[in-house]
Amino acid sequence: MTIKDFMTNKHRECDHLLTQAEDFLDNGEFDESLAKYIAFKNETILHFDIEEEYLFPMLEEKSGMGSMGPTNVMRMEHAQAKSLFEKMDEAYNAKDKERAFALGESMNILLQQHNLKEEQMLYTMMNSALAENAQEILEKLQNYGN
Amino acid sequence: MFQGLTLEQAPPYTIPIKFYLTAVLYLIALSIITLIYGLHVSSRYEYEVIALTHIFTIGFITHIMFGSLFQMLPVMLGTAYTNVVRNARIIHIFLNIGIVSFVSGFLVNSPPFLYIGGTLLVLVFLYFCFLSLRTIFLSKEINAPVQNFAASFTALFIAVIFGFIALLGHFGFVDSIKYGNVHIAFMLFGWVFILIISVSYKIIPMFFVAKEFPLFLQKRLYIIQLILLFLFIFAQLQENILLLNLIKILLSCWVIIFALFSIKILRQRKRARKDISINLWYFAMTNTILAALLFVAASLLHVNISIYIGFLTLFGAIYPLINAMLYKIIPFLTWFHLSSNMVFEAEMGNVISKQYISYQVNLYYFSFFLALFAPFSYYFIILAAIIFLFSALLLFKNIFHALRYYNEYIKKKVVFE
Repeated sequence: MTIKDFMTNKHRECDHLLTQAEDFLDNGEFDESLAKYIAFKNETILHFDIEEEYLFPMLEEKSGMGSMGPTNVMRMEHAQAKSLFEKMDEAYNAKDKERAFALGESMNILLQQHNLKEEQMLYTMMNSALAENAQEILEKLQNYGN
Repeated sequence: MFQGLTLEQAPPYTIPIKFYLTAVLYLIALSIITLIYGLHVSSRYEYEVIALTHIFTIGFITHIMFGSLFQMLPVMLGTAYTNVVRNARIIHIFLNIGIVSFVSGFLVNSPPFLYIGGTLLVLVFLYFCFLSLRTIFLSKEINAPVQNFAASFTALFIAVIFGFIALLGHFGFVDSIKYGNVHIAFMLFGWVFILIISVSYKIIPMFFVAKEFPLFLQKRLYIIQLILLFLFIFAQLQENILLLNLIKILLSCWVIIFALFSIKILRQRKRARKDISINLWYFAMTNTILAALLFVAASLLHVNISIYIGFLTLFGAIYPLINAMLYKIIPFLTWFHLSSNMVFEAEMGNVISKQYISYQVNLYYFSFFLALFAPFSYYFIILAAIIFLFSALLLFKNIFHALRYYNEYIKKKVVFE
């Protein structure tokens, strides 16, 4: 497994959690929906933390791109997603189905286009720039947040 | 080098919106002009039909495609259009002068209008092709999406050239029908179809959390269609009817295969909740299959039903697909531009009222079904055109509401001194 594989799998796991939350919401199962939404939020924020605190600084240093390049765009989009989480919290807690779906739609499209850029470009760059320490990095990624 | 969507690269919000609003003005014009000129038409060769078709294809479809490409090509390929604001303005102005002149030329049978309009349109299309191909080939990685987009612009380039030659034919210089057929084939099976598949490969998995299209389609379908289209030129100009029919069948088969895959992938999407866009997508794909089957049947049985196939393709397949995409793209674009400007109060769900979206789409469905009865009485065309006029007015209102929403919220942008 490569860094790209690991991080891409994490994207898919987050997608799956959001769709599960929305499926429960659609069926009016609010408690289950809230639980899945919280799991989605926690996983996504952990994913952002892994990137911002660990992977991006390493890539910036190794590639010499600095912190104002593509990683900066990704950080901005993380901030956009975090602003959406605040509103989604309100909607899920208030059991406001329509608002939760509308916000989920924004979150979904934002994350999908964001993930696409990471998977096509950034993770590929990581695979090559961080190849020397890939095994060690993967072990750390697997235990991150524990 | 990575080039994601940054605010510096993305064109201003107003560029795609201006193209979308103008596009809908042509739908409004289409409804009204249908009531004046379109009640007794029976053949695709009548000037009124050619005018109405081009109001829809150049007026509506082209504005939507150009506006979307200015916004989406940089996002999808990671490369930006150069001087996007200036170029978009030039294209918008000359495209509109060209359309008005060209369509008026057909409606009032005026050769000067036709030539001026036709020439302007050729120049605008070729300029847009040049700008887009340059943007596409600036992409560092020539991968499948890049190749698909390049193929669609190649088809557009050829379609425009043959369209202009066909126009010369209206004044007796060449056989207009032969060249017109090549123009239509390259426009529909080339430019429009390959662009739709290029965008679908990206958008369907992204918007609906669905599987990717099979790699064979992503990497090979555009090549197959282009080869078939080049053979089409040969067969059409040589009047080799057997080869021509074979090519038509093959072109149609690939369209059907794509449509079936779209339906399959959408049915297996992870984001299971149904919305208006999904229903429009199914409707469009079903009509795509029907139109392709009718096209094959007409070729084999030598029956002339081209006006019905054209109606089904343009109004039953392409229109709902665009309508579906607009309601996905515009709210996201509005919210994305606002939040990129650090305006976080806006919500995508409030950009366009769900209720008005529903009214607009239902009016479209109603007008489509009324138009199907047109062969029985022209009163159905009158009714369909009036209902579609209301649908188009609502579509304009909905897009305009998005622009007002954006303008209202962007005032809250905090500027750091």
